[in-house]
Amino acid sequence: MFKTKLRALKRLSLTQKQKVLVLDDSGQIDLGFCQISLYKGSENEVPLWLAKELERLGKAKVNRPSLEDLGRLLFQEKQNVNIPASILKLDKDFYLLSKFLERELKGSNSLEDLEKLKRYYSVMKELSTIRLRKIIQLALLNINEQNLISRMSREEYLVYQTVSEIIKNYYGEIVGNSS
Amino acid sequence: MIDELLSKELETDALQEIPINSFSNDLEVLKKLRLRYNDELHKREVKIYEELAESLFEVRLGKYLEDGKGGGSFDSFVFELLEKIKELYISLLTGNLVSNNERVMCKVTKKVIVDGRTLDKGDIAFLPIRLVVPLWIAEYIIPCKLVDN
Amino acid sequence: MENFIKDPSPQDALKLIESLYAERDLCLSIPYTPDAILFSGVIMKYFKGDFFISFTENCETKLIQRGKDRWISHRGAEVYIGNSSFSSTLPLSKDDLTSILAGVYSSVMLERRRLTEWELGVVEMAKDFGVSLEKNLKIPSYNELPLFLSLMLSIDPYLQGLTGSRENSISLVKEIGLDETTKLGELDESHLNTLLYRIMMLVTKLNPKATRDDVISDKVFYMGYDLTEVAMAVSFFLDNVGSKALIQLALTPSVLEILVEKTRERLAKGFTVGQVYQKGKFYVVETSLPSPMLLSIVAQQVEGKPVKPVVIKLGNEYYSSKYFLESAEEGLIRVDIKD
Repeated sequence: MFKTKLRALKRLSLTQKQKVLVLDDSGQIDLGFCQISLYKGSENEVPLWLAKELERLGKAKVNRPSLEDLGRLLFQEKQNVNIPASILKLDKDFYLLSKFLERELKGSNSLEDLEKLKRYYSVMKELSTIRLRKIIQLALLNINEQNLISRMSREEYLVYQTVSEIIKNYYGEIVGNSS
Repeated sequence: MIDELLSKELETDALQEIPINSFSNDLEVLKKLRLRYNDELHKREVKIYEELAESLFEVRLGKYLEDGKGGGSFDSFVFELLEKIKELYISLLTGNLVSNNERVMCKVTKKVIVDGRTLDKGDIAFLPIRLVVPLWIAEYIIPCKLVDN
Repeated sequence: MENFIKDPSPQDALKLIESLYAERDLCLSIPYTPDAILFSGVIMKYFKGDFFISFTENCETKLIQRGKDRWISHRGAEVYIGNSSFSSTLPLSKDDLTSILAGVYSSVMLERRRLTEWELGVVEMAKDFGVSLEKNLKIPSYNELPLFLSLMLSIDPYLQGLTGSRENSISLVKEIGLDETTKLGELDESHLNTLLYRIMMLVTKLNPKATRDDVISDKVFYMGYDLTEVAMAVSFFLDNVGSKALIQLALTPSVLEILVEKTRERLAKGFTVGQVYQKGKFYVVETSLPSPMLLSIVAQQVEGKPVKPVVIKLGNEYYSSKYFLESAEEGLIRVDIKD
């Protein structure tokens, strides 16, 4: 079910509201469920799917972590690589929002941005890997404190849930009691 | 809202109860969007909701496969259909159907017109297996089990 | 349409049957008899399209039975086959011979008649496939079973006191000077005569005009099976399980072994045959054997004429069969009879 749920999470994220900086007047947009006014220079909250469209058209810029932010996060996360409970708090949509940075760097022609893109990939890889290890550890150790769970991104929480479920079912089958 | 339904569905192990009126407000908004707009932006918006609905279907289906339980919600018809399909599938694989490799023997349970012919209750129809489930759900026929449970 | 007394021409049925396979889909209206159902099963086995069997008159292809006369009609063309069974008109093939013979013989047995000339011709042709014909006592499976069991299973001729009774059949056999394991074929002339004499005594009690010809007939054997027992099994299963058993037999003839085995098992356990009487429009047979079709053969002999509809009284309840009654249901049908 993991793939199915991951896909579902991704789709859910698209309806969540995110902060955008409006770069161009777009007037009023009727979304049925709500109305959005987009005037140059203002900061709005719009559903992520719309934010993607607007950024693609150059009419807005989504608030996303900067490369420096990512570097800082990685540094902190690395401090306590072997302590699962030390996992840092990230936005639920952290990875999705980071993709905006990737897209921006990919779309650029400058050499500087090409370098930044390489750094982006390397930081993201390391950060996500360290966090994943901590999360799987938490699941293995059957630690489910709300305060730790609230630090995970949506996708990370799904991994945590899935691993926990696997372990629970496994012990249920083999031992007959959930551990 | 359908995103709330999906969100809740992802949080629980069991199928959540979804009464049919829990999303009827949304339906009205979406109908109006469909009718009123034809531009790319609004088409995209509708697609987002279609994909949420698709995911809800998939996640609920996944739970059914994991636990074998359907539910009494607005989509109970899906699980009833699946139960019947499963029953037929098992009968097919374990020699409990009467068939000639192409068609399965069924009993007519309600007067029905098939291929332009009227069949009465008690008559026999040999049908391709893919027609058996829908006609069974519609309560027109019942597949003959070689040995009843 | 069908009341011209023509000469039967079952040989013309073959062309008609072949034309059925040209149809994209087919609906057959048939009477609820083992013969008609087996015929349909054999057709269906090779048919590539949607196929329907209706027990009402809805279809354009019909197997028509009025009394002992039969017709096959399709798209206006009609063939009168006389008293021959529907199954006897099917093209002979090794794969379907079991079903064809079962169909033929169930008609012969239930209608208490002899094989027609046409049917004899079919049996003659089937000799190439290993079918054998001999004139002998009508009791079933005397080639395989001990004599006492054959007598016990004898529905036609109905041997009052012996049919259904293990005890009495063994008694008789011992009285004649034989034992439980003796088979009919082992009897010498003197024992045979005594046996025949005893059988005739029982038969003439019901029918004073009966002669030896009523207890001796053409016996057909195929693959070790006595077609009489096959006909009994097919009728018993139709009464208890329904048409699906016969259709399955047509599709996979090897299933016959199980049908015969289970029927033999049930009958060999023993069963009672009590009073036969009329109640309103029904002919009631008191019995412990759950098969209205088999008991109807007994009823015919007791009453001395064909009787319909037949209802059996099992314990305190009455049951009949779709063979006799119009019903959407198959299997044993509860009938409400006011006492």
